[in-house]
Amino acid sequence: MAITTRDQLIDGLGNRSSRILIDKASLANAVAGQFFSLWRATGVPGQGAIPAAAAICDHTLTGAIGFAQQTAPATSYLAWLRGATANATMAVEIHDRLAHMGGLNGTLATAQTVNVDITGTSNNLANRRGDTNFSDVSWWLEWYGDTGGTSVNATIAVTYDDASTGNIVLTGIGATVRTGRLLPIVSAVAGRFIRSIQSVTLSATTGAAGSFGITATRLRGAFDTWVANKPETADWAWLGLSEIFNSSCLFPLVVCSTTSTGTVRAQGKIAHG
Amino acid sequence: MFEVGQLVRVLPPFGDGAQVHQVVAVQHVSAAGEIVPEPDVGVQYLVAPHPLPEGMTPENAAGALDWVGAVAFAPQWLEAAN
Repeated sequence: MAITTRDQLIDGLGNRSSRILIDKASLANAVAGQFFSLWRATGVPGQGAIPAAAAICDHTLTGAIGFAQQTAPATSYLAWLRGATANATMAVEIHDRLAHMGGLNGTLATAQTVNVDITGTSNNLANRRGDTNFSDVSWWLEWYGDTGGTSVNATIAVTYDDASTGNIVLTGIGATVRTGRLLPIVSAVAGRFIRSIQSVTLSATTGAAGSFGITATRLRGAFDTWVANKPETADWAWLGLSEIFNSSCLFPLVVCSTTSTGTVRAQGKIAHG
Repeated sequence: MFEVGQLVRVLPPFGDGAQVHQVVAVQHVSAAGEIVPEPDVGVQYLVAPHPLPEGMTPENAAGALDWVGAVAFAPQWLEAAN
């Protein structure tokens, strides 16, 4: 059953919770003010693999934050986090990694197949993706290996929630995009939300193949730090008490304040009830 | 093939095929897709988002590509505008 009262929440936190732990090493070559994935950062959880073909992610992947899977009607909620970052003024977000693919090549100026589609139901995806119009889902270009020094545009062929199709152009993808970088892909049509991505086409070679891909995530909670290495606490109200569905592939990403992601350490509780 | 200074239009899906841009540099491309200093198997073009302002030439713009916001395009995405 859903947690709907404070008593249930207190009981879940005190007596029925999964302890979660994040201890991620720093990624170098970050950019202040930009999103960086910690999927490939080493530590706890372990370093996630670079995906190949498109796949729906789940809690069993290396890189996912583990938690006890529940048997219905029991549910799970992200209810408490306490964490510190080695850099000051960082934002740490916990996302459910719904789907991903990698291996796109920074030297090709032709269409590269993606085929990431989150309309299916495997791995509990129907619950994990949220609103039926896909408006809860964030889409990203994610870098797994540095691409080259020439700035290019990327055209992303998408299908929207109403089955219409279109192209989204990301202009001026900067020189030498580094491992871990996340570039948001935002719908180009007001009121429409992306449900699948078919291909990516670069306007020219960046000068180096690198490796990048498409990732779909759903934000489940976040905490902010103000002072380096000073832990901050986010309780259930701050976190928004997001439900953590079975099979969720939880992983951290950061909004960087400087030129590295810095060490990110946190512990928390997923309350069950 | 285009020349430095030439006005061009960027074709869909990258551009609307109407707005005029300007080539500010040519890059030589190897078979592996690397940017190389000498002519090789291919070329691509650094294109400014608008014609350069008066007083700025492609030669001095090439030293300030970040400032002009030039982006690289393979030849198939461009057509001459003049």
